This record gives sequence, structure tokens and C-alpha cells, in this order.
Amino acid sequence: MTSGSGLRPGARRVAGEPVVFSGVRPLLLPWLAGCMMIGTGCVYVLPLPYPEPNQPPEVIEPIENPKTVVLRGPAVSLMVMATDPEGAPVIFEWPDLLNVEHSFERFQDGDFWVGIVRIPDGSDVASSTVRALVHDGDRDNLVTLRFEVVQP
Amino acid sequence: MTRALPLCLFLVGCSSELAVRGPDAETSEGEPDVDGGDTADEGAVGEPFWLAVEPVVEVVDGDLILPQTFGPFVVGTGFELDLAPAVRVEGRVDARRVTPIAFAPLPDEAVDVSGVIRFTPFDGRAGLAGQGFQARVTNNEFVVDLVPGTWQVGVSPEVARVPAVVEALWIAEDQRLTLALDGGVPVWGRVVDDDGDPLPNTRVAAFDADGHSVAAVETDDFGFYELRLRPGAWTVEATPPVSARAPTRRIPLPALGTTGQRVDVGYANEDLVIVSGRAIDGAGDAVPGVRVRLTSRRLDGYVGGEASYTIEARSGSAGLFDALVPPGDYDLYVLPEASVRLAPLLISGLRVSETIDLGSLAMGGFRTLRADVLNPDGEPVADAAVRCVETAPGGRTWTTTTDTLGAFSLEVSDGSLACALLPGSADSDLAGLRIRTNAESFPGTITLSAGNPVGGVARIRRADGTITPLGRAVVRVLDAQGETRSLALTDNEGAFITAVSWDE
Repeated sequence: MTSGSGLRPGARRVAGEPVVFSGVRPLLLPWLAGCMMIGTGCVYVLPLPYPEPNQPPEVIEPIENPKTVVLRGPAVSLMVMATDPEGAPVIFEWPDLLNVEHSFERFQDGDFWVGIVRIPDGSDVASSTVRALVHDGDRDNLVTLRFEVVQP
Repeated sequence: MTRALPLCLFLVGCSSELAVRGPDAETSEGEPDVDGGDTADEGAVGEPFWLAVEPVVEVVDGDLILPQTFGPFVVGTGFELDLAPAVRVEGRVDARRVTPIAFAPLPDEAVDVSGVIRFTPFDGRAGLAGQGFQARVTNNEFVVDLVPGTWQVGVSPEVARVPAVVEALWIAEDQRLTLALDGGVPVWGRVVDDDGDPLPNTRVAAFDADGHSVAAVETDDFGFYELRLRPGAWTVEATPPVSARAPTRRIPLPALGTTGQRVDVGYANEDLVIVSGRAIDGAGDAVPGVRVRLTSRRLDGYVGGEASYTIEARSGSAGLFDALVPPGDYDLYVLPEASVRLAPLLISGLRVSETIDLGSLAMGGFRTLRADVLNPDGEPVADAAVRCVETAPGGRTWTTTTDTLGAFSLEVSDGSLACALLPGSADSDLAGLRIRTNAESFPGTITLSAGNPVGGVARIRRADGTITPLGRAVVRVLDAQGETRSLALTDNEGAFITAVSWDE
């Protein structure tokens, strides 16, 4: 199955994020092939790792936040599709459903991760807000989505 | 414009507009039309399954596209699942007051109706319970968006003395609908306790042959109720209010004719008994706030499944609980709050014939499942979704994903679990696997087998016959019990491929 998207998120730095050392500056790459010629001399340059901030997952759907979900039947489904800039698995948490009967599925397709909650008796969450916490394992760097479940 | 709805009672001449094409798309009577499509696998094997398509985006090119289910099928590829845009039904419910106790004649008095109108699958789509559409009825009016097709329509009014109604309607386009609640075949009677006194506020519901709850009413002060159904097989279920401490009664009506039927509901004369105990954790400390649910398997004085009783109690600060129940055989669950790291406890087949003290009931804790997931060649399967659900009522769900070495660990409660492994898109030729076991017996190595491919394309087919791509959607492979056996995400053109196996 194809999963191409053109939806990869752009780099974005968020203040206060934890840092990881995962790359070298492109200008220093020639060192890897030997040395840099300056005048008549050869200067070796030591590459310095630089911190690259962990990016939060990019939510593909829903676009709206909060998203209004109409309770159209006895059951209601809430779906989130997201991708992580660093390619890490995306995790979905549903803290408002701790005491609500529901089923939850999470699966991956290419770059995309999908989390679906199905609440068999949707009336349990009618007229309430259900949050989805989306992160890549770094819970200090998460995206909060809100689903507002309304009667039709 | 208001016009009469094309009425399609009893499914004579009815068909569904939902269209599906596929070589292996075998259907049963009343299922969406199937006509020959592309070439595909011959001699398909396995159990029937359904494909449920849930668009990621609800509105596509200005049309509302609601989740739709197709089937039954057997394995194959090349399915063309054509989703129809939703239609809007605006309607009115007209009702006249029903005389208590006596059914006829009805006083000629119109009443306001508020409640719920439900559109449930009509054509026997097994395993699809919970599907359908519903809307509020307020001051006799309602508006509902739904998928074109044949639906059972049921109205459950909030006030007694107004009958519910069930009709089978073919709905193909936006329309105005008027439902009269004095149509259909009357099923009426009284619900009384073991002394013959009426049980008001008892919920009386009609279930169709597929187990769908279609419509419900409440008994009035005289214990009187009335349903309006169509001929066929039904079950009438009466559930008294909790304060009555009376069981739910089920009365089958295997062949309701056109003349109506009186169905009175009574109760056996059994004294209630007390079940008590104390919830503790592994260290012996009291656990307050746990739910203790007792669900009957069989009740004394009743035959088979004609009566059942479920009650919940909560433990107090000392972990103590008690519940008052009719005598019988019960399953007793001790259910922790979802946020508490304790495991549910089940005592199955508990005989309760007299007051009984169960003593201290120790709840387990959590444990970590660790396993390696391999393909048939013994290679690791990365990015497989792992989901484990407690089998207790309202069970909690935990999920994770296998790493690049095919390994996963998952912290779960130490009890009975239903787990599922679904391979990621890179392994769409592998079938998902379900494992039902206790946490302590969970296998350390799991081998996924090559599955039978299931694939096709989900599209939008509009009323004028034009077909456009659906875009991204989640496609579920459902078994006859409605359980998800495999999942796939369509690409931007709606194409999907996955695999399914019926081996456990």
C-alpha cells in the first residue's frame, strides 16, 4: 500500500524541549573526507555535535482543534492520524475515558500512526469533551486534541 | 416539499443502494448488490467477513461521507467498495395517547413526543450491533443524517402511554418523513411484581431477530405498556427500575402476526438474599471504591435465559461491600477503578441460595508482558500493533508496538486478557493474531502466519453515478461477532490491502 504524502512536517523548534544529539552541522562534513585546506596548510576540524530538539508529533487529522463530533448512532468513534518528525512511534492517550467503556486501537501505516477509540454507548460522552494526548514517548512534549461530542 | 416516503415494508422488493463490486464479494439476501468485477482469486476459503470503512475526513468534496459496512465476503482482492453520500431525513412523529390498561379505543388526543428515534440495520447483518443512526425527537420533530438503504425505524418516547413504533423503510434520498405512532401491530400488556402489583417505570424494549434493540417504552403507573411492531420474530425485554430489585425478563415472540398480542410480565416469588465480602489488595489492605458486579447465569424459579439480574455495589472505606440479589447462580466481578493498578477478580458460577459472606477477596496487581514477534521465516516483525484488553466488564486497554527487533513489553493487569497483534503496513501479507490468555501464561514468542489477502479500493459513488476517490480511510475486517480481525489505512486513492487468517 502506498503511503506517500508530502505531508512531512517542517522543522520547528519548541522552547523548553529536551535535546538530543543526533547530527553534525553540514558545514563540518568536509572534515570527514580529510582536512580543510587553508592557505598552504591543512586544518582538521573537530565536528561538534549540536542539540536537535525533539519535535512533537504532527497531527494530520483532525485539523480542527477542538473538533466537534456528532453523536449520530449508538456508538461514537474518535480518530487521530499523526506522524512524528523523527520517525518515532506515535502514542495516543485518552485520559477522559478512564472510567468510560471503550475499545482502542492503534496501528501504523508507513509514516502514519492512527489511534481510534470506539465508545459503544456514545451517550456516556455526549455533551462532553474528550481529550487525546498525542506524543512520541516524551510526555513533556505532547499535542493535546479535544473532541467535543454533541447530540445531533 | 413534503411528500410520502417510499415505504418498503417487510423488505418486499427492497434493496440497498450501497454498492460493492468484487469477484469474491459473496452476499446474502438483503445485502448490498454485488455484480461481477475484476478478476480475483477463485476458490476463496475461510469464514465470512465484513469490511467497515471509516473515512478519516467526514466531508469530501462537500458531501458528508459516514462510515459504512459491506459484506459478507470471503477472502479476495479487487473489492470495489462504493460509499454513498449521506442523506438527510427531516421528520415528524405524530402520536395519540394510549388508554391505560385497555388498549382500545384510543382517545383522540394528540400528544407531544420527545425521545430518541433510531435507525437500525434491517437486513440481518450479523455482528454489526451498535451500528445505525439515531437522533433526538423534540416536540415531535427530528433531523437525522444517515446512509442510504433499508432501515428499521424505532421511536422510544420519554413519556409513558405513548407507544413505540418500528417500521422498515427504504431511504434513498433527502426527504421529509412522517411517522404515526399508532401504526404497526400492537404488543401490549402489564408488568407486575410477585404480589401482582404494577411495576411502573419499567423499560420495555423490543429486540429484533438479530438482537438489535429497536424501540423501547416505559410502563405507566398501572404497569401498562404498548409497543407497535411489524410482524416477525421479536423478543420483548422488561427491565424494572433498580429500586424494584426485580430481574430483567425476556419473552420471545417467535411469530408475531398481524393481529397483535398481549404479553404480560410477572415475577417468581423469591426472597432476596445478601452477598457480602471485603475487597483487599495483595498486601491485605482494604481497597475502597471498587465496583462489585453480580451478573446472573441462572435465576431460581425461572427457566433458562428468560430472566437475568445484574447489580453493582461499591466497596466502602474498609473494603466492605454487600448486594441484595434474587437467588441463583452468579458471576461476581470485583472491578478496580481504571486508574488503580489492581487486577479485576472473577468468581464464576457462584451459587447464591441464601445470605453469603465471601470473606476477603484479594485482587492481583500488574505484570509486564514480554514477547518476540516473528514472521513464518523466523524474522522479527517490527511496528506490529499490540493491544491487550481485560476481559472483565469495562476492561482497560493497553497498546504498544514491536520494536525493530520484533520485541515488545507491555504492562498489564495480572488477569484474563484478550490480546491482538496487527502487523504494520510493511507486513501486510501477514495476518493478525488474537490471543486469549491469562497474563502469566502469555507466550514469549509469537509467530504470525501468512494471511489470505484482502484488498480493494474504497470510493464515493454519488446518486448520479459518478465515482470519485474517497481519500484516506480506515478499513476494518470484521468477523461475524463484529470483532476487528485486521486493519488497514487506505492511500489517497482509497486503495487498501491487508491480510486475514481465521487460525487462532
